[in-house]
Amino acid sequence: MDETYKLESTATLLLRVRSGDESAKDRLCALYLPILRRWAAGRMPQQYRDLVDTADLTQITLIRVLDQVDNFQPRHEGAFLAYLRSALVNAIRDEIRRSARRGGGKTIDLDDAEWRPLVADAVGQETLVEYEQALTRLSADDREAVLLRFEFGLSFKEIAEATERPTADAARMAVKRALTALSELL
Amino acid sequence: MAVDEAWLEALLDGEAPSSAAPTAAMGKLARLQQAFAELQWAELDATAADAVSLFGWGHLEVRERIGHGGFGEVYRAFDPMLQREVALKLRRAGNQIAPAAGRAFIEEARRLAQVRHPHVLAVHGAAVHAGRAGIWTDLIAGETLAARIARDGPLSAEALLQMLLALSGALAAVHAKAIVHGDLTPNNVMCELASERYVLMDFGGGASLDEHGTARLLAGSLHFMAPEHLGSQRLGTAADMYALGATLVYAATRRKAAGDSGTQALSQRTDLSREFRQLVSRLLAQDPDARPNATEVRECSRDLLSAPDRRKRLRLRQALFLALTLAVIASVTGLLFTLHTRAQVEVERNRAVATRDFLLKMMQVPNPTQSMQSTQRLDVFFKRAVEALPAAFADDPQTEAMLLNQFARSLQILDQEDAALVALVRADQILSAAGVPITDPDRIDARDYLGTSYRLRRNFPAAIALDNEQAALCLGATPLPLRTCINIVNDQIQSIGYGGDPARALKLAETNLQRAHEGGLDADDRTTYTHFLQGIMQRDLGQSAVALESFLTLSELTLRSVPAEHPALFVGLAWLAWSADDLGDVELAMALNEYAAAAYAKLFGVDAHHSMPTRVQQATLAFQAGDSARARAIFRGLMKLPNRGVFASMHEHVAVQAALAGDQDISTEDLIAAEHSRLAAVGEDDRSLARLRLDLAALAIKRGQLAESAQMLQRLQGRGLRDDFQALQPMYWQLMRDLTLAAPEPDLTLAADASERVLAGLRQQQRRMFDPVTEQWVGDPVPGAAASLARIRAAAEKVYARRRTITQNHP
Repeated sequence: MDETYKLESTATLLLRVRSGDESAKDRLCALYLPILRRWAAGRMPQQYRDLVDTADLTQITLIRVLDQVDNFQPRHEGAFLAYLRSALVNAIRDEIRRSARRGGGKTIDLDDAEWRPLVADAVGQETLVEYEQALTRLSADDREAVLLRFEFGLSFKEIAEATERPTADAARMAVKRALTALSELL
Repeated sequence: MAVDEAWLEALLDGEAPSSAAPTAAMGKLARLQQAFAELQWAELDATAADAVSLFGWGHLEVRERIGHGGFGEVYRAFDPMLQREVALKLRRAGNQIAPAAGRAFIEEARRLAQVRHPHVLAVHGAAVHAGRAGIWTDLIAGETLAARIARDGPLSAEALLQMLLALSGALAAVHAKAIVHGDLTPNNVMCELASERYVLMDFGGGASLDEHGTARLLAGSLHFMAPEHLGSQRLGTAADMYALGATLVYAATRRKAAGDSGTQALSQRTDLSREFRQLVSRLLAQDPDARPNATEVRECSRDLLSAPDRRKRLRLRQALFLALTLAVIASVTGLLFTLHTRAQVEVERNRAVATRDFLLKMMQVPNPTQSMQSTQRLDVFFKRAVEALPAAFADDPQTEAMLLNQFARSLQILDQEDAALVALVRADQILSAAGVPITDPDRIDARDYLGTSYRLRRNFPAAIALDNEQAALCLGATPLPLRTCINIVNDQIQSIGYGGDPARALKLAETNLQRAHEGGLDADDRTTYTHFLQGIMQRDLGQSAVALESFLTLSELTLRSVPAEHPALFVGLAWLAWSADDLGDVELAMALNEYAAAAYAKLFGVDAHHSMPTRVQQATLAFQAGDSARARAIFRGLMKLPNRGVFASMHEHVAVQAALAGDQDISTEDLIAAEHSRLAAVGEDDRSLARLRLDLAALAIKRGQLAESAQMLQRLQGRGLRDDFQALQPMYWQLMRDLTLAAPEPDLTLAADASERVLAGLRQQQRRMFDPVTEQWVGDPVPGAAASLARIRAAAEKVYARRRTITQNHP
């Protein structure tokens, strides 16, 4: 992440967005778009990748979230990232549903994990479903820790910054706790 | 569950192998971590590769060389101002250009930048930096026509026509700016991969651009050069038309054969219509003056595309495609449902297999689609399929209903409106009998289609009754999701508004927007649609200025919700075109319409009823701009469409417009008879009837049939021209004026009074109006029109700028 953006916390920037500061919105976009794009690029099911541009979808989602930022009170950057992830998951599902309807199909009721066949290829569909369901049963702190480490690939130092923990070791402990909890649900 | 500490530490460090995991759960964790990490690396690699910048040129960051040739090099570059990637074409470094030639190059490029057309490569700018002249344009993801033909062989008859339509439109736009392309060849036509769009590019080869360009042109494009090009004559637009002919020959035969040998080569393609071959032959005429111009060719290609047999085949294919995708979607649905339980998976699989088997069986009984020659056979297929459904799905009513809905949509494509409606009504009955609750999404969907079907047939009372039932669901104990409710109200707005009460519809639209706002759905696509309906109703009520605001909002929202390059981006330009027309800027309206019409054609097919309004608008604008011949040609094409189902409601309108544009083959008496039958079908309150009567009155005055005209205006004066139809009032008074002045002894006081009412009405509505009788614009210049037009242009520019592109293999 760019150091100049790091000088202002996500929470500060969000506050500024809420008070109508357009430049804060731009800075949040610059900060989060690359991370989200990287996350989203591999998540679109293969058969829909030609229909929807992942980069556009990410941008639209982020802008929508920022436009409705009043709905969200971030505790810290990690929470915001987790929130963005769930917005993006929903956007991808909506897009798939729309594509299916455009193709002449009936409404498709998508459940968890269907939208990530690339990951499913490696771990198997069932594991992925279990993982998604287990995530929803974790505490918010544990869920963030898993997402930041597994899905966004942050280092422990970065996780510490994103979740306002004092040290990288503290973040490591948090991730360890979260993985233990996750493994008990799998 | 016991956790192996050491193993967990290894996992945290990313070093735990899944095979040696102490428990199954830990193994899953390790596999998940590995899978996510691999995705991360793959994406990081891709991003890193993207971000490398070779050098800077002006404000552009040059990233990758993607092509080179005699002229210079083409790069993929990033434009931070446009915030997207562009193609940058730089002249060869060693070729330092003389200042005068550099100026000409820049000037030409800047003129090109004014050409905005879906089939012309958009030029964003040109400049000289560090001694190198460059031009930056859209980056197209695709291949050249030459590359495509080299790989796939000659184009099909239909693809040839589509290409002809695209390129003639492109040349018409270029020639309108007094620019000659000068080097149209299969190498300079890109086929965009995502959209199958043909894009004309590489004007750099034009002789006027530079002295080296001419040399390259002589070496590389000999077969595509007009005879006058080989002499010393200066190039005119006719040279481009010749090159278009030679390109068509190449695309049809893979042979570089010009002149008579081109015509001969083409004659071997027996699947091409005689008209098409004749057109190419005219393009290849030796005498530049004997070649048709781009506008003529574009109109011809439109006519050829809408030729009845071609249209039938196209529709047939679309319908078949729908039927077949249905089978595919049904089986995909099975896959998508692999989520809840095994039992459900089984159900879905069985359903998909049963659907597929049913379709296959129907296709073979007694092979109705065998020769694929007539729509009739496909009608038979669908009718038989509908009859056979109950027996095939006796134990699965939901699938039966789903298939009926699908068939209904295919039948609509075949203009079998009645059969479609029957299928939709039955689908709803089946779901109801099966106890599927009325709040079930499938059922809501089915009833949504049913309402649309009523509206398309202008059966507004039935549509309103259905909408009311649906709207009641939103007030129930467990109300439907807000999005669904917004959609239902959108249906109500249409039924009520199109049914003759725009004022009530507008109120509903406003309430709907308020609800969407409160529910945080301001930027939702359903809400976007409400803005559209709001604008339509405002315009109907004569509130042009506020309608413009709604259309501008609509444009903004579309930009946010529609993916780049999707044709739907351009659809909203049709409404902006209306607003531009209201403000009296026909040229701008025509340009906007051009994009919108192309988008509609792409989304729905050129002859689909959805595409009709933009085509009617296109012709009307041509008439207003003084090009009656073009208007008549378009109207004639529209009149060839079947006069039934959804087209029936537009048919008389098109006929009377064509007659107003000077088509003498249409008799006023026939049209008056049509007005009678329309009245019987839709009743006095229908807005389209009021509009038809006004147009008929205008036509009668124009043709000197004053009694008929007076009769029409008299009918309007009664119930037909209510306050609700305020937008029509100025036209009514204008016609009263025209009628008065056409009398043998005109009552000038009466005429002056009518004139005053016209002007007052237009002033109040803040718009101008075109009088089809005098073919003059009426009304004062609208205050603030320049600012409004600038806003329309800016909104359109944003839409154009959204056209995003990826890779390009120039030259």
